[in-house]
Amino acid sequence: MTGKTDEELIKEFQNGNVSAYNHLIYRYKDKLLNFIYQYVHDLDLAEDLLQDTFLKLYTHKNSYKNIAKFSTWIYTIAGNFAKTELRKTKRRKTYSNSELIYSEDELVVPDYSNEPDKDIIDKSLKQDLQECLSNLPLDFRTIIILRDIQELSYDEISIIVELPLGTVKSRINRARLKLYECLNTKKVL
Amino acid sequence: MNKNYNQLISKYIDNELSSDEKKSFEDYMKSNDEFSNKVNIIKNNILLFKNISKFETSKDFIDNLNHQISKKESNLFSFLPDFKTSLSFAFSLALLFFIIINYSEKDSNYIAKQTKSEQNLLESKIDSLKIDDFQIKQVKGSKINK
Repeated sequence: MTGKTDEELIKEFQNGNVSAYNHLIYRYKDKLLNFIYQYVHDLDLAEDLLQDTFLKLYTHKNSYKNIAKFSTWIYTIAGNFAKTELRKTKRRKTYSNSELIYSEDELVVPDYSNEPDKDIIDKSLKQDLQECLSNLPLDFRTIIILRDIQELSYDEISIIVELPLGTVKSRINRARLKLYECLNTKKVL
Repeated sequence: MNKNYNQLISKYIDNELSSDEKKSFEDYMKSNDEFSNKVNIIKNNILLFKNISKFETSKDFIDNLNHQISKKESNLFSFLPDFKTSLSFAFSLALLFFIIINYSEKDSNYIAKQTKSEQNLLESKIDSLKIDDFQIKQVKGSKINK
């Protein structure tokens, strides 16, 4: 079962083999958790949304048609759940002008006292980068998450975000430049 | 010019530039430290993203998911009535059927009775008309005889 492609597994699941479904879950659960987390910045919430994603896969298995890759289909479902949740959260947080939706854990300043300098710089940079990513407009953020964090191909991203390949490529370039500018501003501050 | 090179940064990082474009891009980097620094920072950001701490699902994730699935499955079949419900449904249906049949029987009996009484009335009217006619004829006959 492990040597099978995603498309073979989903076909088996569509034919009633539940063990194929379990294999798909094990293959995608951590990748999708990290993908959703980048939107909601709350691990518990990300896990709930991941449950919703896999439930939808279970109940709507026949909606998948073998014309697209399974990965693009499941990332689209997960992304839709994450974006819907993000919109709900934004509506709830209308009192704040900031788009940052950090959990309390993330706002705690980490203790770097026992770590080498390079690691401290990297951690601090990663934190700044995360903040800048959260401040990006949603369409730019999605593309950065899919390309630079999830490492999907441009073709896959193009299908997931329903944009032409050229638009995806130019958008990722603009998003990377925006991140660079954001980090520069942080350095100045 | 700088703006054009900015648009090529991702293509350069993804190694999608032609050899001529790549040479021109690298020459520009050599001539412009600020731009070269920008490209290197963007490259580094991508590396940082790749090494960003990855989370794993909790230990009870699969159990919770299976629980959700069985809950969903029971909901999927909830539209089918259970045994108790089907009994009461059958009883209600039988009762309704009985009422309709009974009512329609009563109704037809009533109509039949009504028709019969109307028929009797008509017959008695015809009889009385016949009597009248006979009497008129008798009167006429006696007048002619006179």
